[in-house]
Amino acid sequence: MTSRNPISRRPISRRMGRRAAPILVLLAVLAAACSSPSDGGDDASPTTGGGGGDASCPAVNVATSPEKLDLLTDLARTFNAERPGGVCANVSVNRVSSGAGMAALAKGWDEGVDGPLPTIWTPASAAWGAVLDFRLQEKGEAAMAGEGVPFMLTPLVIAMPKPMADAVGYPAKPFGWADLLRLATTTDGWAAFGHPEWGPFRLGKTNPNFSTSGLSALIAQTYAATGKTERLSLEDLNRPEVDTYAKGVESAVVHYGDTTLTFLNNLARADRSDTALLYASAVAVEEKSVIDYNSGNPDGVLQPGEQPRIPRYPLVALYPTEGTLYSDNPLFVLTAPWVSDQQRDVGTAFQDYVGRPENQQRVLQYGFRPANPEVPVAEPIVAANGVDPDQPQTLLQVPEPRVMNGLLDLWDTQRKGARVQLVLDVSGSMQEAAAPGSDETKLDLAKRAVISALDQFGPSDEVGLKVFTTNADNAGGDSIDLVPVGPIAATRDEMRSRVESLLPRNGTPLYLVARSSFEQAISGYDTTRINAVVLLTDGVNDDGTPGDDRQQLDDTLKRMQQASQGENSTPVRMFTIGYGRDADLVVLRQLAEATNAAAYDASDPRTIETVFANVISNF
Amino acid sequence: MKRLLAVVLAVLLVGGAVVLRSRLDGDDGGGGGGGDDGPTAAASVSCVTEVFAACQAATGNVATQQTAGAALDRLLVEPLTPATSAIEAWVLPRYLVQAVEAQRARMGAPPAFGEVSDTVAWTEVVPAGVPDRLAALAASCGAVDWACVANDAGALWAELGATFPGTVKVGLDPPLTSATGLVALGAMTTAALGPFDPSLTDTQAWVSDLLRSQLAAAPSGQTALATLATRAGTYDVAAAIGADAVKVAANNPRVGVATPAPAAVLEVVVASAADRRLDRDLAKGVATQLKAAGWQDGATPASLVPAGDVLVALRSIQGR
Repeated sequence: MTSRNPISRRPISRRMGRRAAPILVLLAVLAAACSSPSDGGDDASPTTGGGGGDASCPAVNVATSPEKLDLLTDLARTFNAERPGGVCANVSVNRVSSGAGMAALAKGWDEGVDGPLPTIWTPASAAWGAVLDFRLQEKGEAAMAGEGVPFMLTPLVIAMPKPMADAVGYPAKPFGWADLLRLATTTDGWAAFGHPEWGPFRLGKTNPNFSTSGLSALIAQTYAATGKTERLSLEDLNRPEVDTYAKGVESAVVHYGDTTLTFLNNLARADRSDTALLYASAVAVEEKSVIDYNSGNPDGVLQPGEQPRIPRYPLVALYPTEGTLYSDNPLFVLTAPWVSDQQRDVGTAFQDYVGRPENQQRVLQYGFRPANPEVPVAEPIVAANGVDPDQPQTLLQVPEPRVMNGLLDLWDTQRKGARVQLVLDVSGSMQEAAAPGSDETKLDLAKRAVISALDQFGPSDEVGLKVFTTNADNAGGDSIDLVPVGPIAATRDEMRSRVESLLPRNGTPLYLVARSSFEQAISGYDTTRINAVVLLTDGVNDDGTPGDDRQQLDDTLKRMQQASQGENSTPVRMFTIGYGRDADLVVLRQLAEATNAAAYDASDPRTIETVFANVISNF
Repeated sequence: MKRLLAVVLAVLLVGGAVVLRSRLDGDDGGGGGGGDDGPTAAASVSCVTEVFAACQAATGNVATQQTAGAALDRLLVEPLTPATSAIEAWVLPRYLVQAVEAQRARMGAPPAFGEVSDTVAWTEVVPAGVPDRLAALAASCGAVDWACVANDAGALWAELGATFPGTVKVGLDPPLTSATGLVALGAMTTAALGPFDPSLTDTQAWVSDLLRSQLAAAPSGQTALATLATRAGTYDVAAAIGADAVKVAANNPRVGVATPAPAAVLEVVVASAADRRLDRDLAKGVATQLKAAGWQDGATPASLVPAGDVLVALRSIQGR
């Protein structure tokens, strides 16, 4: 069930879990789709579960967003064994992120890339089904999803460390996006609430092009800006005050990203060093993530032998007064050419089966709310875990797909700008074949990934390109700034050209370059932007002088931690990518964690394009 | 002796064949039924959503499902004879039968149905709600009846003397498609306006205002009752099949049930397609299953729900 994914796109978390990295799905029309581990993101390529049924029975595949893979796998197994109503079936379950599943179904499912053809598709939110059908109809094709059956529910909340929530009046005083906007835009930050030591208000919010919770947060803040709770329109989106509101909220964002787990893991780590309150003041996540975090299990998965670590500062779920949205995890029995009537019947029977009260009791164990009205909300959705079963008080209507398209388009102009240094390894090992028998080298694939990802940056983002290898400049230097950090609108073509001409060369002075790139970003620090370094490498540190390696690394990590922590920190995030099987994932994770960023695993070079896109989703 | 045995065997074979054929055909002759309460072999049975589960149990999972709205649309346009319709029997609200036959008569079309049963089961459509919200409405109105729900939908809770945030959010399954939603809308309209003429502009304006401004739309894929019970914050009150609401309330403390008087009654009948005999075994089986699900039999109480053709006219207001 947790087998190694051949097309992994996982951030390297401590648990290296299945709920790690999300997927980039740029919506061609909308501009994007979304997913995250806690809300439907994670790997698009399948991890299989379930099965075990009679091989002579019809095979039915369920493509599920990752957060419910374990649960659905168990249910598939019992369904196959019990044969409810005499239904003979061999149901198996594969993990496919919400956004990736939608994109795959919209473009034409490719079994080689996307996994087995699904009979049932269950993304994190019904909105994905609406977007899929919208896109199919735009192409003149028949709708495929229709109306799904909700499986389990969890609302989007603003999670805040309890001391901070107390400072804004929790639990007596309601909190909403308007309060968050005031916090985000005040020059006093937390000083306005008597806590100057907490610095400015910092918001963790995922990229709505990738993450369901990010998309829900975007919808919710936009409704809040309009004062409406339903019928959000394109006209609403274009009102100047709505634009100002959005930019105000976005201005407080720490960074974006493809998964809420990056924030939660970083917050948990910061909590252990008593710096949680300086990392993020609030994070837009699903309610179940608050329960997981407070139980000492921020990514919701306890690996064998792993012990939960209860946080020093628990999170509390603030349910925005203006309203929120549920992720409802619908099961769509697809109306697709590859789905037979027999498979549809099995799919419908499986829908009924998972909705049974005894099966709905099981969703509670995962921190979700049951979708069967006869199963009440109960433990662990209780106040002691920082959540409130009687909330939310107001629900928001999911906008029409065309309005969501408009939202995503506009978000590109409203999101916080970025100042990013791309640092690429061009050491000799990059000339190795990307895969056995492949004509392409690792560098070939990396170049393609970088060029492709350049389009993800907005025109006002500032991006630079640096490459590193020993004696990079033929004068003993370790790196070369091929394109200085500057507005990408002016340098995109040059950067593309530079990348295309890269050649593999010498050794890998990883520690020195990590440090110097970090210092360079600090020196150009821009308080109005997300400041970051993206470091891609395929090897271990190899600068020709192994004797001082340990000291170099320790000094680098110490310096990064100093700069990233504290009231007056200048946080530069270092997102690292371990490329190929020889990359030093441990060190890359240390570098990322020292800056409260995330490390990504592209140990299979064929995944680099997706992984790189995921990394850029942080901006 | 051999000849005697052969005769006996032949009689048994013929008798068995007759019994088998009878079982296969169902109660084709329409006579009396009897038999047990297990699944009948009725073929081509179409049931509206509200009673589909009971139909499935009564027919051994061979029934098909349609919303009341879809059934109505189909019944108004198709010439429903055995030669032209695949559906031989319908399980549907009584109001729908009334409306269909009245409208077909006006159009000069032949009747849609052959025989129509008496009411096989009925249930009240009730306001289910979050218990403290129902209590607040009761305090405001004196009792949670349909007039109370109609008049307070969309009002600020603060105006009603309650401390809850926002407005009174009433959930209604879409009257255009749902029998439950349409019956509730009919009851609310009667309760608020008294006997009404749906062709009057004032009536239409009132209904439009109620639907467009005050009643929240249910998320797709769930009834208003399920939404009320599972998605806190969506509704304070939802119109629901009484039998379903009672069952949910028994298990879920988030749901309470009001029992307005006068009631909003939804009656269900079984009807055969034109030129066919009524399948009484099917009627009996559905009645048994619905009763097991909490529906009632026997005399119906006084109801606010207007006649079928008036209800259908109300539905068309919703569609504008």
